[in-house]
Amino acid sequence: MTNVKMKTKELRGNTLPAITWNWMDVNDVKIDLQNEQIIPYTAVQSVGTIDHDLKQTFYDLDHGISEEVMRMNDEQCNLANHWTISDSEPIEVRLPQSAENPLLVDQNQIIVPPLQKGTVVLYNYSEDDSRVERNSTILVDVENDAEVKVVLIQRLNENSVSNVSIVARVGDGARLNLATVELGAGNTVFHYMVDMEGFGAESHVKTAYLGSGNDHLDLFYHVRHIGEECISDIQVNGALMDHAVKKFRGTIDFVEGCSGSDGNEEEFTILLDDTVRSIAVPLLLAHEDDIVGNHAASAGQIDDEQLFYLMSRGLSRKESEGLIVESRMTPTFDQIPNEELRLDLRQEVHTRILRR
Amino acid sequence: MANLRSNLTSDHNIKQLDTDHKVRQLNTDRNVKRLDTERILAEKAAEREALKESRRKERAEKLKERTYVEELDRGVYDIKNPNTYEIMLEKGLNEEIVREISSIKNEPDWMLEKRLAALKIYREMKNPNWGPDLSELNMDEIATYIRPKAQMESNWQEVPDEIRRTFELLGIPEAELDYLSGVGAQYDSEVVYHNVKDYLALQGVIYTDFDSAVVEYPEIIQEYFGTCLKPNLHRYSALHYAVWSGGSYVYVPEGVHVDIPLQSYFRMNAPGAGQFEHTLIIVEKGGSLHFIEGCSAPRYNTINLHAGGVELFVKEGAKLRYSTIENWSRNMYNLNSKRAIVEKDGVIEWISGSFGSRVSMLYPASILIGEGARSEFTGITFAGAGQTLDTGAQVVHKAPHTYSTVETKSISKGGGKAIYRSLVQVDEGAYGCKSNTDCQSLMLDAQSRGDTIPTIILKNDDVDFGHEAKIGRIDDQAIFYLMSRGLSEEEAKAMIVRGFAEPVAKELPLEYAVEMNELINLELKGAIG
Repeated sequence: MTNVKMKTKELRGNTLPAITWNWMDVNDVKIDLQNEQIIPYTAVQSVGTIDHDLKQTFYDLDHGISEEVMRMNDEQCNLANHWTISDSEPIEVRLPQSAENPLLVDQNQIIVPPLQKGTVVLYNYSEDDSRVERNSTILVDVENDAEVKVVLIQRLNENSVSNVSIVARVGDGARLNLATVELGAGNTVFHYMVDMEGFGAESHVKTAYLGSGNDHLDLFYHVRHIGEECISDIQVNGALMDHAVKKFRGTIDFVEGCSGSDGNEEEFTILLDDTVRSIAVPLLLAHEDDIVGNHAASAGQIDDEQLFYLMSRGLSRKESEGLIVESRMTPTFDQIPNEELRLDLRQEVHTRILRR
Repeated sequence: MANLRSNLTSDHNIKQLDTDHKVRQLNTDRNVKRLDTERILAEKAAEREALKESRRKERAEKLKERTYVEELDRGVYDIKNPNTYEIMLEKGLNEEIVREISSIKNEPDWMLEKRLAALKIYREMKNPNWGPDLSELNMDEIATYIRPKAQMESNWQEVPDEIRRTFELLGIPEAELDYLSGVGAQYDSEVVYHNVKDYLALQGVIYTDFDSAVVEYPEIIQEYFGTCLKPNLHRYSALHYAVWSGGSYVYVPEGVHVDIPLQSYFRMNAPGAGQFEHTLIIVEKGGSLHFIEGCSAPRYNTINLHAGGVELFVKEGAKLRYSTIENWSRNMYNLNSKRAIVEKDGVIEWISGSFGSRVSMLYPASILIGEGARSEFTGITFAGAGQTLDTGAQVVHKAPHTYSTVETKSISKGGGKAIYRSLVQVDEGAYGCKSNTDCQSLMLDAQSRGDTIPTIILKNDDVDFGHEAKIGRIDDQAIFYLMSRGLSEEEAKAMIVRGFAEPVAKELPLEYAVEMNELINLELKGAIG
């Protein structure tokens, strides 16, 4: 017992902007970050220095997953990336983790100056079966009339922990496209928070996930419409099997003054096993009347007719299931510029469904 | 050699010149690009400013058309009677007060024990950390028991004039004659009138006030009381069990269909008081009942509290419809708890209209424990100035092939907050369940707030689940269309809102639907037009 370092208190994060009945345990989640030391990360070299003033202004907007997790990110940071995007080739960063690199605490800043367009892909994956931890912050500043696509892919192994906070700000007429793929990590905590400050700012989010084994996924989105005529949508598609637990908690927040705004959120879960648990808390908070907000959540088994059709064409049941699940994820996969990677991810979805 | 060198130098010079030229060119290009960027940005910004300006003007025009009325005359609902009473316990809450309520009622010991246990739970629990602010609610300022100067009667003529007049103005005795099979009327803490039609009594239907039921049917009350809605559910259910008074007990025997509705009407007259009525309904196998609950109170400047408890037991194949039209005054904290346990093939239907109160927290729960049980919830919430109405529904599917629907409409205006909060849970082993939720919110101005906070928990894969929500304002095109057909703008808007409320209205008996439409018109007067 002596060599086990006891935490003084349990870490919790991703707190709902409007909390509800405590007994349901959906107001926040437990964060499993055990590391308290500074360990270097050597798989990718740093490509820039972090602008601390900028970081400060972002942290004023939001605490990411939680204040404590952000503090740990600051103290243990072992990789810093800063990009000022100009119209150029997509930036793709691979962040492998293994027994040699068990800890990745990265800070990323993506600045998109006015009128610029760009793409950033961050691909985090396990190279072996060892338990690894990731605690990441990504700050995205999309200035007036700029456009950026941010793609985050996570394929850590089932023993690992992934914590990612994205905090973004979108200016006048600017657009942020975010695509996230969650195919790994036994414990995934994802946090997306965007302040759409500009007139006609846009935020489009597409998420694909597959939970298997004893995976626990917490997908948290908080989209704030601040400027007038902002447009946002959140589309979350995924499948759950084995004993996987998924919590989807998305909030569209219409702040007073965001007249003419339009916000949508949609969540669809395919339930593949009797033992899965699917939890959804889709919030709409409206403090402005001249808006349109929609949310839809649905869950169920794979449609029998679709399955029957595919099986009548000679596919096995599992192959058919794999195909249907993959088709739900296609809109997200299509955001990935690298074709090889795209195929690889598709293959993984198939393999995991076939293996079950 | 010299020639070669000179050639080389000249080559070098040319190269140098070339490079210089290229650099100059690049710099000019960059400058042009920079200037271009600045120009494009400036153009875009100017365009945007123009657009913003025009949109703002449009909106200002729209706003000008709206007029606001701060306080509405709520007519009969606001009639105050002098606060005369036979017994009014001192304000506040302690063990002595609880013992006194029990002794005034000559209750059996087991009931007093339940009250004291609940008081202990109440003291240990805190106000919820979520939802509306309850800090204004101070139990030290609230009298938990007020007995009006009246005995319980089964003839309206025997009810004291003043109290009878209030109920007459609310249309209760008239309704009893026309379309109810039984009526209960509670005035502050005690029931003043209770009656049920003879032919139902002959079939074994029991409809009485809850105090009498404790004395007359002790075994059945002891068996069911506090088993569906438990005191430890939350702080105000504990409070309810500590100080409950009045309410109704309904028993529908096996196979009996109560073809016309029963109604209980709860009226609070005293300022600074609380009403804690307990309603317990048992519908035995194959029986059916429609129960209507109405609530109102005149407006005072002190805080009043309503923390009633409703326990419904729907047995195999039975059907219960529970309708509530609540129009408490704007000084009321309505922290009511309602719960139904539905057995095999049973049906619970909730119809809920929340119009009044300062703060409401009301989420009727259906626990579907038998295979094939069903729950249907239809609700409308209308929050005006100064109101925070946090309402919704809870459904727990505990058995296979159970079915639930939730359909709600929320309207907010004049700074009112309408919050929809819900839970749909499908447990392990509850296969083949279907659940569908549809909630819509309509906001009539920018000061109001409309939030939707649903939670969905699915614990098995064989479910068919859907949830949809919409929030927004009245569609301009719809108004334009109606106006093109000759309606005034005011009429058009009122018609749209009534249409919005239609799914709830159509579930109510005609007279109540009319009353609800009137309530909507009353509420709308200040909001639009």
